Amino acid sequence: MRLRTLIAVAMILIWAAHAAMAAEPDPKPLPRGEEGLQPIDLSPAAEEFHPIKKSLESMQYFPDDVERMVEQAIIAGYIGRSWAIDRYYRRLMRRDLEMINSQQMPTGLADNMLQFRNSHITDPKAYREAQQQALRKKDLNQELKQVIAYRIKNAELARAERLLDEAQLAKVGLVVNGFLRSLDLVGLTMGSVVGSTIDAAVRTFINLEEIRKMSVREKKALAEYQTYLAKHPNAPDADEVHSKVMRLEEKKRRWALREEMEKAADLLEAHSYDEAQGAYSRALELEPGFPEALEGLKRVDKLRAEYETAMDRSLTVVRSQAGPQGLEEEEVYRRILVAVAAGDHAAVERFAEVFIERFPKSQFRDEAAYALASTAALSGDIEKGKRLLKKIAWNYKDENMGRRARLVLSSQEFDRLGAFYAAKREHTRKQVQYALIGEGLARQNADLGVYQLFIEGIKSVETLGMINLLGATMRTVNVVSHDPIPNEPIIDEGLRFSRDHPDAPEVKEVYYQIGRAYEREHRYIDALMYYQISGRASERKIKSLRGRAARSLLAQATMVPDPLMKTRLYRAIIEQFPETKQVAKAKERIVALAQQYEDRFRLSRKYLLDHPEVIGPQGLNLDSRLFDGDPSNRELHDKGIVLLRNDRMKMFFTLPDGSESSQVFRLNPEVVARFEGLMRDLDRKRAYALSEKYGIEGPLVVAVREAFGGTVAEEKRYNPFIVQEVNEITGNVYLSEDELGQYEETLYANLGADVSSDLSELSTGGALYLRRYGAGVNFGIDKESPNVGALFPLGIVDINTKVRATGLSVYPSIRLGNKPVPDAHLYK
Amino acid sequence: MLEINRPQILLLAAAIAGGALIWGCAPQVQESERYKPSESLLEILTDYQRHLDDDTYRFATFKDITGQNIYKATLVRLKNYERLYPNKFAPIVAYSRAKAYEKLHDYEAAVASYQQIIGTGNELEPKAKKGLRISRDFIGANAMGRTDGSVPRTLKAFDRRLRALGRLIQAHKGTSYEYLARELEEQAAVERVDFLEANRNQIDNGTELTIVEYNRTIKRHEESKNVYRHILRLGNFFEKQAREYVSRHDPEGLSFSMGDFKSYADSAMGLYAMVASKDGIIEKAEAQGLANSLRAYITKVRNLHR
Repeated sequence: MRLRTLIAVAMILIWAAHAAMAAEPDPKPLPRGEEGLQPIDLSPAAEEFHPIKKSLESMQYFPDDVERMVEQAIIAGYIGRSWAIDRYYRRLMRRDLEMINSQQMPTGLADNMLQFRNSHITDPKAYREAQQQALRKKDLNQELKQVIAYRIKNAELARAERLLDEAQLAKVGLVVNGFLRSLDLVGLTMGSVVGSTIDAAVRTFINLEEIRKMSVREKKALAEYQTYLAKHPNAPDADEVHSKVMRLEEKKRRWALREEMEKAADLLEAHSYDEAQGAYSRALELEPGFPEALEGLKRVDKLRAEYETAMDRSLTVVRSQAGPQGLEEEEVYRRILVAVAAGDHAAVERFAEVFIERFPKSQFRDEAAYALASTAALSGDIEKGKRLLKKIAWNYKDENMGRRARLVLSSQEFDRLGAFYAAKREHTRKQVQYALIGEGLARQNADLGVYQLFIEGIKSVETLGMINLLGATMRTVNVVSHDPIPNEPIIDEGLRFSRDHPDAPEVKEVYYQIGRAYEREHRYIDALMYYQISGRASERKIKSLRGRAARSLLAQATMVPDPLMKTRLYRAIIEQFPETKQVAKAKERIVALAQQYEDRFRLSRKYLLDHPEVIGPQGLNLDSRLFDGDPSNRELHDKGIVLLRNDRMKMFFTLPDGSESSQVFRLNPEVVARFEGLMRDLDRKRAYALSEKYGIEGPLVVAVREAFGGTVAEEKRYNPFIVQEVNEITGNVYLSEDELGQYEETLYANLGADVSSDLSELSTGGALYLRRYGAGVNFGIDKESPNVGALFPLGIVDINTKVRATGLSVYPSIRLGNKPVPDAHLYK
Repeated sequence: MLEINRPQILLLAAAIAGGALIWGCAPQVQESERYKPSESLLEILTDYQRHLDDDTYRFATFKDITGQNIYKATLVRLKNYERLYPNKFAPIVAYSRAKAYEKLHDYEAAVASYQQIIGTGNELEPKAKKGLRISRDFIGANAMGRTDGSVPRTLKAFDRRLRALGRLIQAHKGTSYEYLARELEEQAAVERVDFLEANRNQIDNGTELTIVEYNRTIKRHEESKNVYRHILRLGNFFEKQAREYVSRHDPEGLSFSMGDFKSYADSAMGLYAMVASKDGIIEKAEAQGLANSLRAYITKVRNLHR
């Protein structure tokens, strides 16, 4: 009895406590200043205000029989009675009709039931047809329409077909645009028809090679077809798909064969015999008995045998000369040998000198001299060793040791900086080559004026020379401002030298050169380090470099997605470059990062107004007075709201005097959970819309989903505009359509890259792209010469104009609009 | 204005012609000359002797003009010399062979070669005796720690071996033997880590201990030419952990945690990236390859996990 009383009391207490907790979320705002907010003064009685309405609007339920039908349909789906779903679909249609006739709201579930029924069709062809039929329904829910359209578009077979179409379009586009580009409209109107036509033909011929390649799209289409066949081997269109697979596989095999053969030839040239053998063997696997591969294998065997024979030969000893003449000569020679074996430098020097002096005609005099030189080097006097070796190389040039001396002198051991300076020379040579002729003189010149060369003969060289001179000037500027030739070989050789000879007198100069190489590579922190240890850089140089290092760290911090890494980089600026201007920005951004971490969702007022579901009971259930335009009863500011971590919400208000204020409120976890669910749903829809807009498949949706897991780095490879929009979503920043438009416009103006194929050809200069009118302006240098250009869209055609030193050219190009393949790396 | 008279022109032409003649006659190196056979013992020994005191612990082993390890190549050449001239300069050949064996850490063979000199009365005999004694010390120290006993016993034996090698380092400080002892000590440390790694499931906190041991080896041998190799090995260990985690927890299943997987994978990636970012080291390309491979693996696992 006593126990029962205790339990009853305990239950009452628990119930009371629970009721108290559930009845009301904490309506009080946090004490002022607790969240680092500005104090606000709002009337009436700020502490009584809470933006979330206390009760939800009553939920609407479907009639019982409708719920039962849905329930039965789902069960039918589970137990494999898919034909029954069709019956429920028809019943639901009838029920909706009844409700409409009796002036009630229809359930609106019929379309969903139709989708549910369609999803149980196993035959892919029948499924496609059913989906297409569903799409033709006039009264189909708009959202569902989008989903069905997306599914139809992204079905395996449809995806493969589309990829093949795009591949075809890209190839035709390459040839057509190449052809059109040569048809300079100005040239044509000036009467240079023959010239333009010949140039167009040559360019087309060059591009034809490109179109024979198996593209990424074709490879992906093949994989899609194969998956389709594996999943639906008995589909009615299986034979048709199979023949496409065979055709694509044959093409793939042919291209793989060609690539292996090319690779093998390159490897053979680089004396990589094993790798070349592997490539030829793979070629033979692709086409058994392929004569060229068999020939290649024979060549590999021959060259490898020659190399191995040479190596074996180098390890042999030949009896090429008589022994020392006389006992005395033999004894001195023996003593040299003993001294060399024992590492007795003084003795080597003594006996070698004696030998050379006493037996000037001995066949071993060159060896004695060589031992003397070697010992001098070993004693630390490299220069003396080198001098002696040079002497041997000259005096005994036809003898064994003379040859060896020459080889040793050119080796890294004696020419310690040889490899370093060779790397420097090679770098300079490539720079000059780049500046003078670009990256492919023959093709470029053939590309830009075959007709001219053909008609004018040697005279045209002058014009071509002028064009190349202009190009060379631009490229020289480029070499100075942004070295296009990799500096790694210089850095590698320099570091190797400094590691092997840390005390060498030349090491400071090498450090300085390494610093310069790093600077050319824009690796300013490394450059700074080496300039400093070289002790040869001026203070001005160091100061300027410190500024650039800080700027580069700041830029790096902007690029990396990981907030922790960002913070580290900002801290590095603050701690290592305290005197630079970038410190202020770094500090500011660290604070912003902390804030960003705190913020979970940012929703502008306009976004909220555009999305009543977010304001309504499905979402935050906000007080409608926030949007009534009356600042006296609290009006939401344009900045809107920020959902913070730990179930808190920061709200921005417009005060009666027009100024801005903010306040943090605690939210009921249930409201937060409901709101998050809604936002996920909105994100999904938004991702679908974006996928449609940019023609990107799944990954964009995945990127958005990943965002909730906190990482999107992998997916941020796409078009920068999409990335920005994904960032919008992943950053949980919500702007209205207008606000997004403005944002996008700014973005296009700032980025100016990746907007037209022509711009990607620029090796220097910049670009401005005015998206609103679809027109582009660019300046810089392309394959031909420096130019200023403009692009005007005309339907699916872009009219390109380019003003060059040699005149004006106008040519059309077809806008292909091909989107990048998101998982292209899987098909390369 | 500069005026040049005829004799001056002739002189200039002669100078140019002379210069061209000298340049043309300057001895050029033929690639095939690199692989010419040796003609005498002095030729074999001179280049080799120059590298007997090299610090092979910190720097890469020297390659001769044919691109081969000079100690290995010399051993073959000496063998060929002996075949051609049996017993000629035998003590010198034996002594040279012993030094090459030492550099290649084959102390048993070095002892055998030194013994061929003892009693010959050759000038090299005192040096051979000393070499013999040191080689035996190396054999003794290096033999420790090679036991098939239990894990704790083997670890203790490893410690004894490391201590003995440490004593050798001290005893030969400043000589080329110090480098050899350091190389052996490094090798012993690597074997100890390998042993721990192989038996980590039999030891409490075996994985943590293995990581500690890897780190200790990296720290202790940070001057070694192999330090980047050790860092990559630790990276491989983390990568192995990540792959084992994936084997135990199917990424498509519910027990898989991306966070747990990434904790291993990121550690491995950090180490690969560290080596890949070092310029001028032989391990750079390997590290780049490992990082690329791991990156592809992480992407695959993430895709499966979604």
